[in-house]
Amino acid sequence: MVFRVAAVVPLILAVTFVCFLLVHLAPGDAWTRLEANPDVSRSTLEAFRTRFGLDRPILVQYGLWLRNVVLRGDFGLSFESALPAFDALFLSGRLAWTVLVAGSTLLVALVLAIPLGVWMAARPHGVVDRVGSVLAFGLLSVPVFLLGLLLLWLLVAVRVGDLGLGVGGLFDNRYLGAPWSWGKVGNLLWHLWPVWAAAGAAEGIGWARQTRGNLQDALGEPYVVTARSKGLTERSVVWRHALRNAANPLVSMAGLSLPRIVSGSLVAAVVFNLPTVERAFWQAVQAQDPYVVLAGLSFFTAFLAVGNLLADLLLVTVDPRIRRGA
Amino acid sequence: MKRRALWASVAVLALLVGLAARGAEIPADAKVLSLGQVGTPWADLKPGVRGGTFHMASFGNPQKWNPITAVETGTTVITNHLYHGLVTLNPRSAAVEPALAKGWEVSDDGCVLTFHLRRDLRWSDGEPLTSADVVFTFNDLILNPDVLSTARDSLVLPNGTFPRIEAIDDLTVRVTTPMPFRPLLLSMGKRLLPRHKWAHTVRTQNPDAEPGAFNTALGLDTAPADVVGSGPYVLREFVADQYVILVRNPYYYVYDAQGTQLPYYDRRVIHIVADADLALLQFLNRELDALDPRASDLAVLASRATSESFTVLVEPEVPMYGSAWLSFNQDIGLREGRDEGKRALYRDVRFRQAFAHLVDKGAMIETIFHGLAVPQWSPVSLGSPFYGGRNGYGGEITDTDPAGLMYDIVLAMRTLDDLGVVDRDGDGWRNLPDASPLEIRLSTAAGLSEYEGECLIIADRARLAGLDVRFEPLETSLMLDRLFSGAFDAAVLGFTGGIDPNSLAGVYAPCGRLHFWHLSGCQEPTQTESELVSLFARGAATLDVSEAFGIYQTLQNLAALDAGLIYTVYPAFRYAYYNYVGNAEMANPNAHPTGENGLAADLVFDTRLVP
Repeated sequence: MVFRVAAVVPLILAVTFVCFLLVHLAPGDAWTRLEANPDVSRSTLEAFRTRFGLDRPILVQYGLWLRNVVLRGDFGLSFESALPAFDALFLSGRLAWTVLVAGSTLLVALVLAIPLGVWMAARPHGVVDRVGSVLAFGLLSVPVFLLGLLLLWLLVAVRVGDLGLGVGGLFDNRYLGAPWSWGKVGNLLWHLWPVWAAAGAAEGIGWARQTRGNLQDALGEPYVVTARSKGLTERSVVWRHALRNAANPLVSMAGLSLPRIVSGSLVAAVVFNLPTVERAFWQAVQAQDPYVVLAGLSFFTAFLAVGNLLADLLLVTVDPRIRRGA
Repeated sequence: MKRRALWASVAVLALLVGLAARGAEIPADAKVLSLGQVGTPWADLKPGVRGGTFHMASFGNPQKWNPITAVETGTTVITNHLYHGLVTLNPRSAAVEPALAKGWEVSDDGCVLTFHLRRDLRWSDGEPLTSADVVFTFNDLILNPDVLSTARDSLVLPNGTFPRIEAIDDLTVRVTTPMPFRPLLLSMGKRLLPRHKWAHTVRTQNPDAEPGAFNTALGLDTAPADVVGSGPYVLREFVADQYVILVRNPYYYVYDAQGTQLPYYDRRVIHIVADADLALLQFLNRELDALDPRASDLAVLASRATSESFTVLVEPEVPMYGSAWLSFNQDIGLREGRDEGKRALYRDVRFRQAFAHLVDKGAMIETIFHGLAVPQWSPVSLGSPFYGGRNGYGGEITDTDPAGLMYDIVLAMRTLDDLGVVDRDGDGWRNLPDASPLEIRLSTAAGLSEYEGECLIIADRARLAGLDVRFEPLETSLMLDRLFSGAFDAAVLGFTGGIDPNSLAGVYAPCGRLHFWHLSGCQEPTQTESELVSLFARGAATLDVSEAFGIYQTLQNLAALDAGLIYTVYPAFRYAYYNYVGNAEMANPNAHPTGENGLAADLVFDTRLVP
């Protein structure tokens, strides 16, 4: 386990190095653009040039960038807004919104997928199973952006008086700038469901299909036959015995799904106008803002590496057989 | 005991009544708008009631809160609400009228302009606003070479100097010029900044300040309380990618005749939307109270206007302020020492004129604007009385393209052939005269669908003529940075416009901040550039508007034929608003000739709140 934790560090380093190379090999003259930015003073320019060694070989530049990141938390400068790259990415609480949007999407997908998968496994070829299978194929085939746009149009077309949902954004107009209240929290959740649907539906239905398959396999195992012959209820057999074994691959899948959740959140953030890190990152890519792109790539790498690490740790907790050396 | 309580209640009531009555008093020097009064520009407007929130949309985050250095409308749409100047334009008549100054006098020789400020003016933080702030804004900010202000170019006098601006006393400002300068009054309407907040950022006031430190002041990380202005609203909250909330400025100096301090709305929320599609959906979903629709949105809007209780205003006859253009970078590769052949071609006026003949304005008007646009050939806005297609100052528009650079692909191809720009390697594309490939990368701001449409039509017609034009939309801020750093190939974009052609002096002056297509012209101006500078100077130096009209007509023809900026088309005025927005029927481009929208921010109100 210590090995697994330690492996995260070189992984992040390797990815940041590749990203650094890619960002610097990208076409365009970012430095000229920074020089032309009236919001950046001469002294800031010179200090930046020295601090990040912009007139030195690329390996030295990477070393200086890494040193500044590790020692000072300095990811560089946004060439667009002249803010520190870290601030440009996380301005206005974007990190919290990203964690909320991606985390809640993951959670909702899991919470819906497992019961649905169990239902489908317990009643194979029933109505739910068939509808679920058709939905799975459909949702897995529809790109997130298209699903998002269809939901947006639906929200405008099917308005039910004041229940009409805001098009994009996190809150209805009446809650903009208002202090937090239960009403505001409810309104936030009301705004998040299309995001969950767009970014998490495909993952969720995929997991439901996976749960169904795993559980059906588990239900055919001898220990399930033994449990049933002991006279346990079917609910106990499925939920206490079979599902615990069938759920293990789901934990790994959840970790592996993180990149798709993040990319889905990015598309959802653009379509639904959400103030997340993903959207700021996307804007930085469009604006060819190299140090913000680099900060974003580093953030996502760390986010995914830590997410996968947590999934591994959870897997070990759920299934002690997986411990290294066991 | 009961009697004492009764008397106390009466006393409190009297006090409250007294305070309420006091609240309705109009300060002696306030600006009063006589809404509904016959014989005034406000005759057909109604007095409103205070309260409510007005919701509007803006594309992309603002870049700063600094009105002096801002160049893009995503920023000015907000700073216009935060800051005011000495004078402004009447939103109905477009005439210059008092704002923070209650009046002015012009000397007989036209060389001295004396402004009188209103008494008891206050900044939004409660500090007094005096002539020291006016002098600071002009002398230490706008005219300070360390400050990157686009406003400076419109204050350049015909002899190349600047006006002398001095405070006579706390309420009087004197502006002196060595010669008459007709646009001076309008140019003095630049938005003011408080000296007590920003004096420390300029070396003229604080020798320890870093050069150019003011350019970084009022960034997005500035606390809202430090964004101090004199406009109708103050900044309350900014959430990137989401919204900007402005609330009423308690010290605003404008009242209606009933004694109600303006603006009527308590708050103004500017929703930051990613694109026009989302803005349309938000409007249809009643999340926005008003919308600047695209021509392509009009069919959707018109079909629902009656049932959804909103109004779609389309005024094909009301010309907008502003311009849209195509431009070639005449300094391409100069800094890097490459692209000599391309640079020489772009510098050749015959090539630029040939390309102007490839701009199919008719197709643009029909396919992008559904007929609701007019061809443009001049840098001066169609709404300006100096527009060169008029039959005199403020006269009727009688000619839509005096320069004659109309769509003519045959003529364009013939000119290209004459220039030696022919297909020399048999690949189907024309080459440079030295036989090297000619690939033109045409950019615009991504997401601005009307500009994107213009680019696609331009690229298509150019390809028909054998030119390899590739369309590359760029993110807005990247596009602007590329433009102003001279790092583009060809671009389509637009300017907001003004009443007086002198507002374009900074665009055509070779050293102007907006003269992006030939930055090296500052060191080596072409003959045409020098002539244009001279015409701008002559036009500004005469107080006779008819004489100025003649000069500006020559200027417009020369600028059009030089084709540094090849003008395309400009849309008719369009606006949509829900019917509960009072006074919205006044929407017109005069309300904000510098862009934004067609509503005067102070005067709209929510009729649903009327008791």
